[in-house]
Amino acid sequence: MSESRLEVFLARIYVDQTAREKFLADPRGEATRAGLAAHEIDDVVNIDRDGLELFAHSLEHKRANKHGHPKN
Amino acid sequence: MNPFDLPGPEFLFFFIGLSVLAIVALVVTRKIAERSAAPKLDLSDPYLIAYLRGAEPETLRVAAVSLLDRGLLVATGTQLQASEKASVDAVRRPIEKELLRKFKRADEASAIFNDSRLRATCKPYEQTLKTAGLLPSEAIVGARWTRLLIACGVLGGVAIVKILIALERGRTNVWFLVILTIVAIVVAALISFPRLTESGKTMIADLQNLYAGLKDRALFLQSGGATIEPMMLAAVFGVGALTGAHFGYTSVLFPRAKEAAAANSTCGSSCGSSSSCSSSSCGSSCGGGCGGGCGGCGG
Amino acid sequence: MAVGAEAVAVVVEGEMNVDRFGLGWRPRLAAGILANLDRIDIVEVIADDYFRAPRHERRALQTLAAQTPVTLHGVSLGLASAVPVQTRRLDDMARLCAAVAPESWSEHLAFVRGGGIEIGHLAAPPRTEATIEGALANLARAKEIVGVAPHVENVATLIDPPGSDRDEAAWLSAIIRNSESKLLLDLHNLHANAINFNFNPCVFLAKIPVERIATIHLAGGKWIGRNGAQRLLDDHLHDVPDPVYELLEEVAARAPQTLTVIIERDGKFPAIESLLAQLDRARQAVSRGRARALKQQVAA
Repeated sequence: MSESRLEVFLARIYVDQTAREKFLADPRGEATRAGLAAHEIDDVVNIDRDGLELFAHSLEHKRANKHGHPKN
Repeated sequence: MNPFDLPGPEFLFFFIGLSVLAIVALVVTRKIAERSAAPKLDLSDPYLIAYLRGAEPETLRVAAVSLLDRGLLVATGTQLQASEKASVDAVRRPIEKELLRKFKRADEASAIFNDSRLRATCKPYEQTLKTAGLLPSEAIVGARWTRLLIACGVLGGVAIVKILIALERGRTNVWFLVILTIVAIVVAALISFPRLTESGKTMIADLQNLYAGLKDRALFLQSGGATIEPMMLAAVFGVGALTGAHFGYTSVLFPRAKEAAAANSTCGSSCGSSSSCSSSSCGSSCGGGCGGGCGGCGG
Repeated sequence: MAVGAEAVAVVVEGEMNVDRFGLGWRPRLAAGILANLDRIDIVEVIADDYFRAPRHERRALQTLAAQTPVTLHGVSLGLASAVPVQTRRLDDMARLCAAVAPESWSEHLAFVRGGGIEIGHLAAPPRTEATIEGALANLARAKEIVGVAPHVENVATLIDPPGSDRDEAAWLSAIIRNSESKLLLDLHNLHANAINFNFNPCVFLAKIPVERIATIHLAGGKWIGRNGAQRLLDDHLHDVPDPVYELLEEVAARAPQTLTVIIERDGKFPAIESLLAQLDRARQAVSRGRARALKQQVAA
């Protein structure tokens, strides 16, 4: 289901810094290589970049706090 | 095979087995009979929990420490005295009022344990916990006696029958059996009357689990009566759990409580670690991390 | 009924029902919560913390449930996905619900994993027909396995979900209207999304089926920024801000049914009195909303 491929693609660029940097450098190319449908490629090419960076950063922060930081 | 026909040594093994079975049956039937759904308790009253965990001595310790923490009692060495600002009207619980009356003049802290008026203030807690099924009521004690008498009747009856048969057959070396019977009955009696019901034991364990986070933060709890936390820690885990510098006086006033806390420290740390999955930062892939729950955690 | 609190009565089919106000259960808050159950009507427990917990920890939850009503809140099912939720995760929730007998359970309309990758947080899925259908299928399965449909929560998002062909209100409404689930409306999530993506939260409230709201979450957050871009983050580490109370009043004015309002706080914990004061403020907001609705009914 192409919608699942979109979710997989999003999960990857949210979590994997290398994948995200590659995507931001060549969004159409990376989306095409991920097998997204044509309309999905157009959507992710116009992705909310600021939101993507902030969300990815907050996930990194959360992971860093989960491992080795004092619990609340 | 009639066990009464067993030769002496074999019969003793049989009797030991029967005794173990009877004692296990006593324990199991008591646990089943005294287990009930967790009751609702007033968890705003640390003295109720202290009474559940350690009866009058523990309740009196926690109450004394609570008054000390609020500056209503003052400690000098091993002695306590009501502070100048202390008035019985300033406190609402009868146990606290009685403590302030008792220590109008300085006295040894240990004097609280033998004071009948102080102990009387603990009676309502006992009653509440009996009603909640956490301490044995008269009915429960009666049932315990019934089970014990049945077990003793079986063991005693079997022993008597064997002794009579042995004597009839000219065997007089029955002393091992007599001693075994006495030992079995004593053990049965000892395990038949624990202070708490099974529900009471469970409630203590559950409260220690729910409050485990408090134990982890013992060193950092605010003194001065600002929050209920230090007294709940003392109520649930003992005054010995108050390890913060502000509560150093507890080890002078109640050294045995501190020793008990130290002896239980392995249990304490495992109780602490039991909070690792209750902290909302464990196991939850989306709720974990710095904030726990399901919020984000900042950039 | 909380001492000193204003009880807001809503007459539903001849029965008197009361709005309720509670806190998220966090071990750090245990003593304060348990000492103030006269001011707290319900606690919400993070379910995922207990899926792998030993038996004695689950039993302690049962004891907690004997002291105060408990609701379970999941964070890792990933219900709003075109991909079916894993059965084992639903089984975990079912087992916990069976053990604790909460009065309800809830989860998020989010996706949390894809292609074997755990995102580690709640992500807003593309708002499309496929994720609506996926969510509905997952909700139906959840009800079948757990035994009762969950309340479902709107999520905050820092990123405008790519691939979306409708707005959040339309997407959410489609799921709620076509499922048996009630809505857990997180007002700080709504507030943050409205600010971050420039829409009017009252217009959002006008579009969603407010009569299906069962629970409300309140929380706080903070502004975060990177490379000049700023967004409001729902971090659960701050007090509930004024606009969220205003939204709560608005919901109370529009929703005829009783509401359960829960404050979520995950860290930087203030004194329990501060949280209880925020809860009282929530009571007052609901009270004002109800009074406004009554006035409008009388005037009409």
